[in-house]
Amino acid sequence: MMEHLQVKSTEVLRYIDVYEELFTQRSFKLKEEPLIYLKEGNHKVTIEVENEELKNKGEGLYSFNVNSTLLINKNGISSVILSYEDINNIIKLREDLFKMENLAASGEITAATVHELKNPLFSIRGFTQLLEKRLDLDDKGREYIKIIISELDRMNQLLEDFLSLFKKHNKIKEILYIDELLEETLSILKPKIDKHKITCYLNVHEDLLPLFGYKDLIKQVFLNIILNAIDILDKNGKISIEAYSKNNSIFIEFQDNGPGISKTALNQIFDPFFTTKKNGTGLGLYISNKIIKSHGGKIICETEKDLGTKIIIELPSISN
Amino acid sequence: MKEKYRVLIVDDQPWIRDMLSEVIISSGYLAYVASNGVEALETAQKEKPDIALVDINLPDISGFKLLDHFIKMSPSIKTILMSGLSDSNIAEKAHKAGASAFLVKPFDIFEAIELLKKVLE
Repeated sequence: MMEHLQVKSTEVLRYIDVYEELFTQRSFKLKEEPLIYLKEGNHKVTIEVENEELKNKGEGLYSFNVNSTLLINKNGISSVILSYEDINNIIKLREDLFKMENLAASGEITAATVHELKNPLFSIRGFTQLLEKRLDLDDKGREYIKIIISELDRMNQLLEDFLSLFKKHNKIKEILYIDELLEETLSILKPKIDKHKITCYLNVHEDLLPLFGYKDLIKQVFLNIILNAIDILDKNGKISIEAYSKNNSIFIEFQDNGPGISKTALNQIFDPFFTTKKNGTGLGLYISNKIIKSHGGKIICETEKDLGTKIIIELPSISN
Repeated sequence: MKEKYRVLIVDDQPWIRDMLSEVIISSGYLAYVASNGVEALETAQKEKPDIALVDINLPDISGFKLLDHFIKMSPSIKTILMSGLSDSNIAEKAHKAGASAFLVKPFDIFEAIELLKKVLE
């Protein structure tokens, strides 16, 4: 846009009128007379506006690139050619990009730092085990070593859970077959399941509909839920997993025959940092719930004292 | 008497090399150490290990690449990959790359010896 005007002063020019004219096209008023000096050349001009709503949104500042050219005749300056360019969108885009980059970088730094903590943790754990072998410890001493190891494992689990908040997952949604995901999850957990002598039953109905979602995340949910069951079960415990479709939704039920969850605890199991386990971090179900919700589904927990706990996941199927 | 199995430990962290060496030697094996990929290949050529414990994050090459070299060099070397990352995809990748096992740090060193025994048999 170009504006032509008559001017009186020579060196430095103050053109409130001009600016008002420029900005009246906008729906805001200038807070005070803008004391903006026009010199020949390119300037970035920032103006604070008097619009509470905009200000609250952090958008109270408007920026323009202003270019002015002075036309001089023998009486001095006769007129000025003024052009301005609204650069607010560019600034906003730049800020958004900067914020996004920062966010990604802080996530990456956190993940890298957490990962770096694993090496010293492993050294401490390993040398503690070696020390126990070398020392002639009494029962108390062995108990202390056990506590050190179990606290280190708790620390590690906390790091793992924390890391999973930042973990880069395959960011492409794909068609997922629940039976494959459950089998993969169970094969990852096989050593642990065998070690605790737990029997696992998997019953996937043949007409089970596929799901459209993030593979890594859904697998993580299955992993968290089955791990919880393993932790709560004594030796010879049982976990039954059943997956079926109903009304275009997918249901996956995880039933264990453990001690069940108390009524008070039941209301809190999806809260962050709530745990009933000695070495729990309270992030597993919290994250799982978030993941299932982000897929448009929900998790419910049914429990009965001494009869076990059932976690039911409902997810929309692909046909939904 | 059967000759002792030879174990090569590849990790850039000195304390971890020391710790793993001690538990491996005290379990009746011979232990060799390397702190990076190049050292690992040199040592493997010289000492002909039966099995290698390899961290995935080495300063010069990745543990996966080193595993490739081992397989080309001598297909009889068994490899156990180690990592601080517990991602299930990495475990899967390790398996596909030809690793005999995958250990997530921090692991129980005596359980690791049991695993070593199993892989060697």
